[in-house]
Amino acid sequence: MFRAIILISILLQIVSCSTQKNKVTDHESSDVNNNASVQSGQSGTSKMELSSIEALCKDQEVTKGLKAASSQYLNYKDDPEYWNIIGSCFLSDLKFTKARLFFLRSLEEKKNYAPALNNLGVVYWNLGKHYEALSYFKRAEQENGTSGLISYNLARIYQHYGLHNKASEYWSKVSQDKLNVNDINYWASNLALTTKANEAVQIFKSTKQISETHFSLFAIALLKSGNKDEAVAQWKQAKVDEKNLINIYWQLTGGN
Amino acid sequence: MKSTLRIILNLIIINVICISSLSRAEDKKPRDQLMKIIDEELREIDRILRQSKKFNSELQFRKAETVLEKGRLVKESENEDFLNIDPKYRGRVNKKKFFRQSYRYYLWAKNLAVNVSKKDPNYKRTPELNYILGFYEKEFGKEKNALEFFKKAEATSKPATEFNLRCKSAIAEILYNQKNYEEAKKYYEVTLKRINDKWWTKDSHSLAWCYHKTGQYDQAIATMKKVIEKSKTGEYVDMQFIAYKDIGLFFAESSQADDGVKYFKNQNKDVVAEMLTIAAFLREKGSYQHTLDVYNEAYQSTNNNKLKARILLEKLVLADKFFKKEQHLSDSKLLINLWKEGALDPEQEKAYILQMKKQVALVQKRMDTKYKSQSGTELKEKANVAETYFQLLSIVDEKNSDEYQFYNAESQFQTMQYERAAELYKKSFDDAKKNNNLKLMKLSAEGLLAALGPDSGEFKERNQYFEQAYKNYLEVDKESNKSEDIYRRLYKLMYQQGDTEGMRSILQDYSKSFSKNTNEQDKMVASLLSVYDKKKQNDKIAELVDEVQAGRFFVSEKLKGDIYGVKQKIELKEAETSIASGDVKSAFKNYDKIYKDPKSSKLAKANAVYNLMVLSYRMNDLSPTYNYGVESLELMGNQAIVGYLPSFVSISKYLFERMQFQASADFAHRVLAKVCSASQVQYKKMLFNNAVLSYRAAEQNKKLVSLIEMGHDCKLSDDLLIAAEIEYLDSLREKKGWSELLRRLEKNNSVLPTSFSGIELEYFLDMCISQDDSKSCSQLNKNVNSVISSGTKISGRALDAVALVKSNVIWEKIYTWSQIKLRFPEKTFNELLSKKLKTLEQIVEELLALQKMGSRLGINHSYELLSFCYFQIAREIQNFTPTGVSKEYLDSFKASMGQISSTLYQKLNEYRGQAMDVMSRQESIAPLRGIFPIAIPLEQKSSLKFNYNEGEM
Repeated sequence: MFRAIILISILLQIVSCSTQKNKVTDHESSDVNNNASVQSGQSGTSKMELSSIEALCKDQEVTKGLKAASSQYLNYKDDPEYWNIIGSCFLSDLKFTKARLFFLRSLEEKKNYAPALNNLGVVYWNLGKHYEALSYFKRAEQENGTSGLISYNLARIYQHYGLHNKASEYWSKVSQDKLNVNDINYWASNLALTTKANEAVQIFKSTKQISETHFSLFAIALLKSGNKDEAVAQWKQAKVDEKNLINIYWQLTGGN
Repeated sequence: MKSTLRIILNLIIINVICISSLSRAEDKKPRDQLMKIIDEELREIDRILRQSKKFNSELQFRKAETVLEKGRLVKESENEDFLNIDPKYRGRVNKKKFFRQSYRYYLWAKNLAVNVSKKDPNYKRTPELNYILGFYEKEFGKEKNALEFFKKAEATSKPATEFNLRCKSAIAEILYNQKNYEEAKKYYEVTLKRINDKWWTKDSHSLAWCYHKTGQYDQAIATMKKVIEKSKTGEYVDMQFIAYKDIGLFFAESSQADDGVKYFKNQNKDVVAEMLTIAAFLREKGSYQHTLDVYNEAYQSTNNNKLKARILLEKLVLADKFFKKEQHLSDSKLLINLWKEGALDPEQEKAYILQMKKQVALVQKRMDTKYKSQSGTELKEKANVAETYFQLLSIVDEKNSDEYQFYNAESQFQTMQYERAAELYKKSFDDAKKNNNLKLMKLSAEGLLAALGPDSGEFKERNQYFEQAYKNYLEVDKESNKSEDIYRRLYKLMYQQGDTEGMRSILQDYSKSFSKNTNEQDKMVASLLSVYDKKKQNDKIAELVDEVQAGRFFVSEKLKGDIYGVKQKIELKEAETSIASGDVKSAFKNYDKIYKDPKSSKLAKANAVYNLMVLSYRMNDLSPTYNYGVESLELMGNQAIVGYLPSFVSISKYLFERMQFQASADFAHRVLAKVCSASQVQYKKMLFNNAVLSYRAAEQNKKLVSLIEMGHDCKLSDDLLIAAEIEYLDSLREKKGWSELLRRLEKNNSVLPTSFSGIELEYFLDMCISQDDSKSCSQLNKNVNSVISSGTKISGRALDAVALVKSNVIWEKIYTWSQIKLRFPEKTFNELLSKKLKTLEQIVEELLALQKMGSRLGINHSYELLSFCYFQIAREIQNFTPTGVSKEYLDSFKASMGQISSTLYQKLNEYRGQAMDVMSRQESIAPLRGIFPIAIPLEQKSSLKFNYNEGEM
């Protein structure tokens, strides 16, 4: 209950001092947030597309991106996407703490905003707070169950903890088109550790490149699929360290 | 020669005796010629006398006559000279000296005549000598003596002679001059019957007057008619002019005016002129009505404006003489029209003015207070009469119209007709001003004030005059005590009318005249400001305040100070108005002016800088928002800050949202420090949270610690303080500052509530896992025991920590258990195996207990350790090969052990399967010990994926 300090959720009013009786305490309120005429055009900056800010951060021009984002404050401050982009910029710069605060700010505008929820999961994962990370990914999934990106992150988390069956569910939701070689290696490795060894073998074989760390899993997949000779050959090629627990797994699976 | 002298002498005598009264009409040239003749005659007489040795009475007589004549001519000349002297100096002339020459001739002639009388007492021309002596006396005004000499001459001369008639004529003239008309008439009646020369008309004119004076009016008129008739013939001296005039008088005086009019008409004379003469005479006689009738008749009988004007002027004189006021007024009114048409000459105009002035003076005199018995109506009537005259006078005598207006006003005032009086005083002031008549201006101004003084119900427009009355007065008197009062009154009036320009003007004048009266100037300035304020003329207020500050007026220092505040108040109001209208830049300018003004009070500055902060915020201007915010916190009192807490909180948030983390944190921190003891819990919480998160983002750990300490001092809630502490601890953990983390955790035991002990376990857990050192883990063990014994509610992560401690304990047992190595002989083997299985059974029970804790880490560890144990014992049994036994025994042993190990492997796989199910079901993403592959975690070699927008999902 104490873990997350929620950014001020009440949109407060700024009030101006009145001169009634020349006392500071006499005042009249004016809702600055509703005073569009005051705000519009006074920043001196024309409105720019959020995608432009995004592009800067993606190109690792984070400082420029954040500066541009700040200048667009009045134009977008009520837009959850705006805050999410700022958080993402910080995230891309590995500024996890700052990123966290702006994703939370995004959720102030829209409490179930799936991109921010997902991104908070990423932040917490990077901060070593995996329970919180899983929690946000799950919330994000609730909001957008078809998201390949959320499924990807969940699949990766689950397989990180060896929950390969769970991970497998999510890998299946991820569009292959969006997976790079490394991702495919992980996906196939995860399948190798489930009952879907044949599928794993197919994926490994279809991928352009099996990374070195995944040869052992390819071998296990081959072993589980009945291609013992090829499995053994691959296993040897993997040169798994004797102390590596996967050796035991290999043995338990039927390897020598 | 003698005959020539005789002729000359006769001429002289005729001149001396008959023409003396007309001599003035003679030209100088004939007189000179005559003088030459006389001088020639005298020289001739003297020549003859020198030739004669005896006293020649005849020649002496002739000489006397000639010298007398010369004296007369000399005197004529002297008279002309005398009359030519400027009248201004004429009175100063010594007449004896001036006429001394003629005097010598008269005296010489007299002496000659006397000498003849003495030396020749029997001289036959004694009557003529007496005549000469009589003439001498007459010339010197000694008519009595002259009369005696003329009477002697007449008595001694031969009757019915021409000389005798001349003597009678001279006697008649002297008697007439002596107004002895009765006696004169007797002589004239004699002489005029006998003498019919050209002088007849003159003497008959005198006779007519004698008749008139002795009551013989008809004879008088008839004689005068004869004079007129004979004058017309050209053979007599023309007496028509005077005769017509006098006959008019005779008609009038003898009550025969009508006959007179008829006579004049018959004579084709200017009837009006003659009637005027008649009327004038009647007027002098005191016959008012008769005179008035003649005037009216004359007025009706002519269309000539000049004559009409003349008649009316005469009527004015008449009315004046007989106190006929209405008639006078009526004719005065009539006359004005003729005056306008230019019918009056300057003299007449003067007379007209004098008449009216005299009348109006009389009217005013009768209005004097001493005539107390007069009713109000009577007084008003008189005032109205006076006003009519003054109006007429103002027209005719325009250059003095100011005075007439003034006196008119005085009349109206006297009769309590204040409204009219006020109007007239105002006019008289204006006219006097045009004429630069300062004295009258002052009188008029005072009069107008006096007219406004009495509260008369009839004076309905009274209020309309006050302003002008005061202004008029101040124009003529700016520095007296009275004017000081008038300034105040006028200022008050302007104030009531809201006339700021007027007020300002008065203030300026007052300040010049009464510079020492600061109190009054204070009031004036203050009231002017109040009117400006009502009219929202802020620019004027600013202008006035600047003038006051510059010493333009002599006000008190206190007012100067107060006013400065007023100006700033206005500026602040303007700023507020600008804000309301969306003109933020103008508002900013106003506030900035106040803020930078060294004369601004601290309060005003605080107001201004606060609003500058707000406006900067509205203009989305970062640095100024923060800088003004900090400055406003310095200037504003804590109480005021509390009043505006929502704004300050918002500013803090704004700075954060603009990614100014350090500024946001610092600002919130400062605000919190100001409101530390305030009761606004919610806002304090927001400020604290904002500051914590912003310090966290800014990686300002020292300041974060300082803030947390302040949070304790401000007695913020435990939840808040714990949340802040967690942020700090997280920052240490993220940076792997384990020693500081440990130190902080130890310290927190004493300052944070026991509930925090559960949270601490998470950090000990992390330290224990991350460092894997005994100190951290023993600390974890210690704290777990403490938390468990206290029964504190703990989080899942904390439960993981407890589970880890238990897992570690079990792991130590397993380690010990794993050190039990099977060996032969068979009995030993069986005992050891039995022991090992029993121990395993205990371990399994403990691991199952670990699972039941509910910790995901405990579950994972439990299955991992179970699998590990079964794998260990299954593999040990499977791989155990006794030595020194037969092949058959060995085969049998291996077969038996193979079954046991197979069973154990099955159990192992069963646990692995359960583990996968439970872990997946419970999403047990907890770290394993890494001692057995119940699952193969796939380490992250690349980051998880984040998204900028929904489209990327």
